[in-house]
Amino acid sequence: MSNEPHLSQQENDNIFRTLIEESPTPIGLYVGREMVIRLANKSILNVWGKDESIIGKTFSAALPELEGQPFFQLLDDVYTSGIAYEATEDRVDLLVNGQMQIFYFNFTYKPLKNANGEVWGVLNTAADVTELVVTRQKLAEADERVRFALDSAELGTWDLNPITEEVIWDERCQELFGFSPGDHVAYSEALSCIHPNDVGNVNIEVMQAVNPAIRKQYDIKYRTIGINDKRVRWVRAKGRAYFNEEGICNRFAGTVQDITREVADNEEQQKLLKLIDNSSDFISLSDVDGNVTYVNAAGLKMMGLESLQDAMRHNSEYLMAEENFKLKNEINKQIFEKGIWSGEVNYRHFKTSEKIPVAGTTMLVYDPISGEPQGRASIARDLRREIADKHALTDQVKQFEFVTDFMPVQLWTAQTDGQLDYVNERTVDYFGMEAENIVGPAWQTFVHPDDFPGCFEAWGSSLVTGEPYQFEFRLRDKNGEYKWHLARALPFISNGEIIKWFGTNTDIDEQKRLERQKDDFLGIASHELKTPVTSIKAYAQVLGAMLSKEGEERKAEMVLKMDAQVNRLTNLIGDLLDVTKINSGRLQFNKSWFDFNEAIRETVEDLQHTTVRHILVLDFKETGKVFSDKDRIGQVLTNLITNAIKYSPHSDQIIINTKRENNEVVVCVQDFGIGIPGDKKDKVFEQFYRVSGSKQHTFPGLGLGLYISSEIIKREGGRMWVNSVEGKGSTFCFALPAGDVQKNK
Amino acid sequence: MSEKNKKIMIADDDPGIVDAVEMILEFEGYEVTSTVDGSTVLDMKDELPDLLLLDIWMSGEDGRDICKKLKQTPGIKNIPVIMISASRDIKESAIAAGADDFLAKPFEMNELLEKIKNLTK
Repeated sequence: MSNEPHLSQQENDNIFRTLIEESPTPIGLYVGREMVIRLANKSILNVWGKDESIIGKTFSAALPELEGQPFFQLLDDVYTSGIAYEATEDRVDLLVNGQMQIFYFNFTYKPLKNANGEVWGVLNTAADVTELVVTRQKLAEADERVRFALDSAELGTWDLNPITEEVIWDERCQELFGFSPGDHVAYSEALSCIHPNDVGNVNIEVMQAVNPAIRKQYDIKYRTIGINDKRVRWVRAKGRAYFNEEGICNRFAGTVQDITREVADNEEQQKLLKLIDNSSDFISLSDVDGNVTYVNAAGLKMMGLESLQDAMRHNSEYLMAEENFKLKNEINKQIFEKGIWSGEVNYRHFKTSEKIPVAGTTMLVYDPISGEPQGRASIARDLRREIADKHALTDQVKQFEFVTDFMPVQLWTAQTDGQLDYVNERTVDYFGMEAENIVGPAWQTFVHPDDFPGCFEAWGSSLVTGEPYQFEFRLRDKNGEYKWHLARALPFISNGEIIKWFGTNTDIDEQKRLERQKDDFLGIASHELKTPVTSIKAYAQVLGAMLSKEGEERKAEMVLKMDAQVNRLTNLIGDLLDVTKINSGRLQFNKSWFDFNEAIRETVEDLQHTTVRHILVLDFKETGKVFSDKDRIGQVLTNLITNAIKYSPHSDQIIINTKRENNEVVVCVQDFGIGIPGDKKDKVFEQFYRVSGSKQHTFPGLGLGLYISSEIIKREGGRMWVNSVEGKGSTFCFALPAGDVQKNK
Repeated sequence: MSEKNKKIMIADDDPGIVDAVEMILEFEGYEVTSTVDGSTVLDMKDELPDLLLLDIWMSGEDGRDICKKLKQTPGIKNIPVIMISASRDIKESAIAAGADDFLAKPFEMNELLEKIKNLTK
């Protein structure tokens, strides 16, 4: 048995060696500070990629590729310090098959000590965990990638346990339901965030997904209303249910995505498409070469196309055959040079071959990223109606001109700026020159210089106000003679706006001549009448004076009455003279400053002597002075008061009041007589107007008094008006510009 | 009354007026001479009138021209002139022609007398 231990030691040694040699765990033993490799099993040689020849070499000589890595230093530290070193998943770069490769190891450097505690070697054991580490890295990467994908897709994830109603979801998911990050959210709370209009659909979809008999893929779009921010978001939720062996759903998980923008974009696009489709113009899209891909409804109808399919043709087919030259040489050329073409071209109806003239625009559509032309978009307006209308209008214009050329008056139209743009044949004849020399501003040169300023002002005023234009002026004819014309024009209004003026010039020269003759006659006649009246008056007065002197008072009185009648006659003659003066614009005024109230008082006092029935009541307020013709103003007031007396035979009071108001002095004469019907009120100021009616004709007068009075007041820069109630009486007033109170008092 | 001896000259182409005014003035005690021919007005020689009543339109003669001439002629230029016309619009030009006053036809007797009185004081 003495050998036995030896043998067994030998045997044990072998067993031990074999064990080490064959161990799948890499083991190495390095001796001395220089780290001579005493032992390296197959596994460690395999790791190193070396063979047994390295045994007996130093560690650094055997594995020069480890230079630069920390192992030599680590081994030396362990040897010198006697403290073991353990590494977990450390990276080791090794030369395998001539290539440096990355490995991960758990390894230990354990110091081996003798009985004295001195280190004599280091035992190296290691475990290759490369695969584990790499796998874990790959997993982490994959997870990262998923997260990244979720993030970039703006996807949130959710995971629901229908049994416990516990829900796990990420922050984005919470955000889409309007929760703040970190909020703890119960399932019921999440459900309450679904838009009331969508909650029904969501429930149905969920039921179908978690029903083991159906197991439908969960995919739905719905709106959420943010629980905190109250924002409405469109989301798309996708997911599936998982079932246990008993067929009970134990997990329902998936993703949710914000599609608010997409929905909005989509809506915009839908609206745009709808707009395009409902547009009354032809709209089409085609590729760069002109192959049509889309035509809107109006376009299909206009072209006689049955369907969108039918529309997929080359654009040349849309045109009349003779337009293809234009398409090739003008349209396409311009599109590619400038990116856009606009103009008129003739389309061709696909069924009837009818020519359809259109005003069209085609432009290139560019790819937003590459900037390369991607296709063409075209819009075209059917011009058939417009052209027909224009023809109809031209025909009408021709008819209009034909008719107007035969009219015996000069007829013209003018633009809103007052320039003539048409004159008829008659006008051309009158002026003896071509129409183009009359239209525009040229007409002004034919107007008599004396008449032009007034004409220019009246026409300008009408152009501004839109009031009908009327003016009398002399126009020079082709022989250089001026003839009186009455110009009148009315605005042609369309949609509340003046678009044209239609005017006429009527020859009133003969009329004017006769009028002038009449005025001249009246003027001379009045003058001639005055001469005998003057002698009659003188004789009457001297006769009256003689009779008085002789004591023949009754006879003298009769002669005085005669004189009063002569005065009446004088006034009538005066009226006739005034009318002729007014009509010929020769009414003269001798203006001076005078006290208005004082002048009125004088006149009223004179008139009070002429009536016994009526009392003239004065009601004066301070008026100051006026600059006017005192005699004329007296004449007007006399006229008003004699009228008041004349037309109020059954009352006994006439009120005359004066006042100063807004830089005007105003006098009113109020009677309580027969009054004037409302519709006749403005007529009383017209020439020769006389009250009419059953009894009114019995009132005397030439019908000139109020006309003369109002003309006088008008020419004095004032105004005259009447307020009246039939049967109750009238109040005639006139106002004159007042003088400066301070200066002229 | 010394005024009653004043001499008034009337120049008017209408004999009716001349006659009637003559009667008035004589009735009032004036001495009156008259002419219906405008061109003879300035021929006055012997006794100069104290006042001239001058019509403006006198069949071919304009009273204003006569007045102007008169007012430029030494010896007679101080004779007061009242111009008479059927047209009241003419008053201003009458005054401009040198007339001392103006009367529109037909006139009131008293008005005429007053004006004469004023100018012959």
